[in-house]
Amino acid sequence: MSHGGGHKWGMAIDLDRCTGCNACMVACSAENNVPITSEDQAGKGRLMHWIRVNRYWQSGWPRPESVHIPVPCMHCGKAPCEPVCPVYATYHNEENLNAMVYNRCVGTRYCANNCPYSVRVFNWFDNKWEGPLDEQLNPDLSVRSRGVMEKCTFCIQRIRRAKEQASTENRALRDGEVVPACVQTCPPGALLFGDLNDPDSEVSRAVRNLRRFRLMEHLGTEPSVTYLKRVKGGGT
Amino acid sequence: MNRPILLAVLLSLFAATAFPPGEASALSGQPVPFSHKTHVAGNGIDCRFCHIYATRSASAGIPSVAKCMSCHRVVAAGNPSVKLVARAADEKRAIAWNRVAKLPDHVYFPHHKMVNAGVPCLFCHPGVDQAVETVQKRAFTMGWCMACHRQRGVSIDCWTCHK
Repeated sequence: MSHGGGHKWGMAIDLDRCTGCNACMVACSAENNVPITSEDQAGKGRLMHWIRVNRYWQSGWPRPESVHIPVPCMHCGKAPCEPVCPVYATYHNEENLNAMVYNRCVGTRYCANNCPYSVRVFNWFDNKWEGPLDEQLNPDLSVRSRGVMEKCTFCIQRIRRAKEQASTENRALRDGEVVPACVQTCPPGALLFGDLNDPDSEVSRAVRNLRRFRLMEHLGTEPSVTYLKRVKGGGT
Repeated sequence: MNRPILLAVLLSLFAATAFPPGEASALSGQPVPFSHKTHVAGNGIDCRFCHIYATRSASAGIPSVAKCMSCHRVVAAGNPSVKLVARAADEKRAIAWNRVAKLPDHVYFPHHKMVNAGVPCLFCHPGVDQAVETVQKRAFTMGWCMACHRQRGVSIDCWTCHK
């Protein structure tokens, strides 16, 4: 990596490639011990997903067309969730990640209410994983208890592991070495993750694309997730 | 039969039923009494000889029964504790050691990062080399971790250790 200084993690999501298959949501839940919510609870606004896929119908019958927009935590540069936390449970770290400290969280839910993207989810209950699902819980993460807010971490455990591997081999982190679960699983490769401080990284090249836009950018949140607009056209 | 002998027989019968091999013994809290003092202070064995993953993994690792037997086929083979290990080896059974140094669920502690950075094992596990019964004398408090991280200029970001 050519640049000096630390990392600035970011994501690019190419909507031209997203088919709305929801594989990212499944991978995320499996990787991050995210509880599965019942339909009944989801109807009460208690759905727990760290990434969701929004669907927007563009046209109706007989040629229904839709656009799918995967929405993880934007890890905003100026995150609205951070200043409202009374116990400093959510803060910004040196690598441009919006971090969440579960043990500090007292469950005021101010952060979720102040998040324009609605990506924060709250543990309303102590969630149980029925056997044999409890055997597949990821040991790299804690299982959050009742009364705690949680959200996408850009798979911090995977970032940590990649860094460790690089430092063990006494070299710099390579582009593409940190792969969050959603990025890894996306069949058409719509999601990209990497270091925005490295001008040559795949994600840095993607965010220079002319199709770029960011969700609700007018709010001044400076999101770390950049979308590439879907361009309707024939062929390829 | 006189009284003391009868008492001794009864006691040994009680001990055999109350603490069958494989269960935690009253003396050590471990299924097999194990003295770090004998191994480390007495025989000068390096920590990493048994805890082989300490330099390359988050977990330092507990030695396998086969690892114990690589020495104990010959060394102190008549010792009653060693016999328990030998029996486990014959039955191809692991020994269910009880964890002594406990960290909470939400803390990530990579042994290899510390060991490779030159932190001595005894810094966090003081006196374990002299321990007949393994105990964790140092309380793993966050303030104590942070003091060392600050002193060494290591990251004190929450997400460095918390998960």
